[in-house]
Amino acid sequence: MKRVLLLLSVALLLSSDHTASAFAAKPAHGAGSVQEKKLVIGFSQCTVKEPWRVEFNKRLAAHARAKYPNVQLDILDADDRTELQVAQVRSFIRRGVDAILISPKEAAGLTGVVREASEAGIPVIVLDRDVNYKDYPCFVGGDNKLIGRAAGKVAIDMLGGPGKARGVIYEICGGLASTPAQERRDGFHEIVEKEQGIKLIGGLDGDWKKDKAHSIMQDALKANPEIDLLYAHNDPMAHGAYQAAKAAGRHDELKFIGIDALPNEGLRWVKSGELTATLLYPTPGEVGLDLTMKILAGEKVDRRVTLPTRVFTKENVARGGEEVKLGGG
Amino acid sequence: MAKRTGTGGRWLRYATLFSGLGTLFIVGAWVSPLNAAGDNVFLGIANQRDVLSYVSVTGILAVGMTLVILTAGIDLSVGSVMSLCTVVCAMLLMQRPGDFETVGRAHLIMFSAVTLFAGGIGYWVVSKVIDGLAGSARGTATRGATGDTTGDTIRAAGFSPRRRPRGLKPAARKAIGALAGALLALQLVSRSIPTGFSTLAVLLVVPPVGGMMGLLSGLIIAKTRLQPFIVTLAMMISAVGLAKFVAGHGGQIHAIYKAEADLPGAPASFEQLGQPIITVGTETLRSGAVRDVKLLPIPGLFLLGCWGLAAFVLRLLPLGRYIYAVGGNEETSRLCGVPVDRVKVFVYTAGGLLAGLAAVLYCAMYQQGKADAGQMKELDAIAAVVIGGTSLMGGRGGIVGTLVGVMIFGYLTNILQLKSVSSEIQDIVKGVIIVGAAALQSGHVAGMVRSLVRRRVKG
Repeated sequence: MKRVLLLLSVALLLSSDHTASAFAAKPAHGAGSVQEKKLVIGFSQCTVKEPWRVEFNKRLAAHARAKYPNVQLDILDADDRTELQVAQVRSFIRRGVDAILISPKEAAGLTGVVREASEAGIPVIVLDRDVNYKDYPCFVGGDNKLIGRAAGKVAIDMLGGPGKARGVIYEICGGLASTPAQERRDGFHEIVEKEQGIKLIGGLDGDWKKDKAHSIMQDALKANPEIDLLYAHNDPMAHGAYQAAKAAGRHDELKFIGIDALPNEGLRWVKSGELTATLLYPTPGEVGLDLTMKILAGEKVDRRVTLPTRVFTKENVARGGEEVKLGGG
Repeated sequence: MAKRTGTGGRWLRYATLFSGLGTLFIVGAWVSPLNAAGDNVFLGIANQRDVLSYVSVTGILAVGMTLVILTAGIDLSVGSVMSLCTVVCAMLLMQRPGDFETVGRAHLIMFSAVTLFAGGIGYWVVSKVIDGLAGSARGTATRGATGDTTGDTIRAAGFSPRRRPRGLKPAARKAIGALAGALLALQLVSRSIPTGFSTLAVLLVVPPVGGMMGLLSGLIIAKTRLQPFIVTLAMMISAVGLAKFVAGHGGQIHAIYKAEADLPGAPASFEQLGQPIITVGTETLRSGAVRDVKLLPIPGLFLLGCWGLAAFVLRLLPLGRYIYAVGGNEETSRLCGVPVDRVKVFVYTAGGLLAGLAAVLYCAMYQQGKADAGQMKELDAIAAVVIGGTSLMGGRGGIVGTLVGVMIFGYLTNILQLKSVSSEIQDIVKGVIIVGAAALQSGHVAGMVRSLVRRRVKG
């Protein structure tokens, strides 16, 4: 498990073709028959509107090509529509694929079809968001609440450390109707609100959008002369806020923390010193596929795999970031 | 007292228009927080500048939307067209080597648009300027050249006006003009491909991409007589699809970075395009550093420029009269000899060109191009136009009101954000203000009040 995660983080760092070939050098685990037999695996991705999902697909496809040449991976995009995703999974069942990967749009609408597939004897591996049916072999995903807590820890450390931290934190939320935004907020609040010296303000909805966060921050800076740290629920919003602060000449007095750490967004901004830190929201594709192959080879796997987060700063970004140790949390 | 005519009516209308904006301004100053020095934040120069900068993208879309709505049309596609243009703009600026197959898509669509428009300009130069000049030189007094001015005379200067091929039929001459324009543009644009696109280059080549989409909508609307609503709705859907297709990987975001030693990227001047200019003083930062306070955001200047141009067209050119006429009564206009189809094609094309311009400014301000950049912006633009008193039925209203409508939106967002009002409440308040403002501008509320007063007086 550790080794897979290590590979994952290295790959996130240098998401170039070189990394993919590094994977290729590593032989696949599992029984010989699974390695040689031609396998068809279907993957239904709920949407590719978000860059994180695009990265998710890109990495999964590259991983499959490099490590499992015998696997034909069919990736379908459900375009954010539950009914389309249901139809896609059904088509996988009718075709009799060897395994199904699904990253569901929502729990309620897709529970039924995951059950159908399981009852048809096809192993279903659920990625990123869970469904309400528990009799499938494996779930792989990140934990937004954990990431929120880790972001809180990073923020507190930047402002003086637990118990001694002082300052004003301004928060810009993602789409507050979405679970990830709520969890990233709740986890962060849980850690930060313990600190007596910290004042947490803001909390407006930036809807995950850079331009909206830019405008919110522009006005927040004028209304609040004291802001020491900005926490945004994703990197583009954090960077939008950075640009607003830069235009106001206040970017040097603030620290900026974002989430997602995508190679062409957060990591690049951290490298250039614009964002102070970003936290990884890991894409579950590679680990999910590895586990699928194990299941097909008849090995036992954990029922639920939670991918850990990592924090990237300018100092450690070249080393692949580091794990956040949540003391007691 | 009951009826006002002529300029009196116009001033009354302006007074009603500005009363809403003025009220909002006073409220803003009233509720504004104070900064450390005790100054009113809302009234500060920096804040006014930020509002102008914030509204510029939607404002430019709204200028185009005003022209369209004045002809009793509607353009639902400007937001999506703008999204497409942000993607094209970001990709042209970045030209990442690894993504060449997708960059090729941006090149293809840009080349077709530029060729089309340069060809159109060449055609126009030959048919109006050269033949027009030749006509007046012969003393036959061709007055056609003053008919409409859809072209760009500055670029027309690049084409030598004296080399008129003798003995050719007019159609052939025009075709040669179009071809020459297209080839000249292709030659100029392909020079930018290996070196990367400059700020000026994207300002010239991206708006035609939007213009091309607008032209297509306009032609369909004018020739098939389909409802503008359904044609532009279709264009809205297709343009988002096209934007995602061009962006690649199902519509990834294209972040714009400054060029570095080993990496291609946007020129440094591109970021400047989204920033304010003209220093009006200095301020001391909390860190002790002193820096210039700049007054005018460049996107805001573009907004004012577009607005001025539109006002010029509407007030002073025959084309402006035609736009009102088509919106007022299309059939009557047709019978009176107004070139209805050409007017329609013009307004949708202008809307598309402005969407392309707004896209470049969006890219400069937010350093990204993405397939949902302009999502819902068409509705903001329509709302601004309607708040500004332009009738959705066409023929009534004007460009002054649109600027007021845009500023009402900008101040409203600004005030709510300065007060850190939560986003849900912001949306509720915005809806209420839209209805309230539209009701005020429509004049019906004023009429109701007047008749109430009259009844009181009589009774």
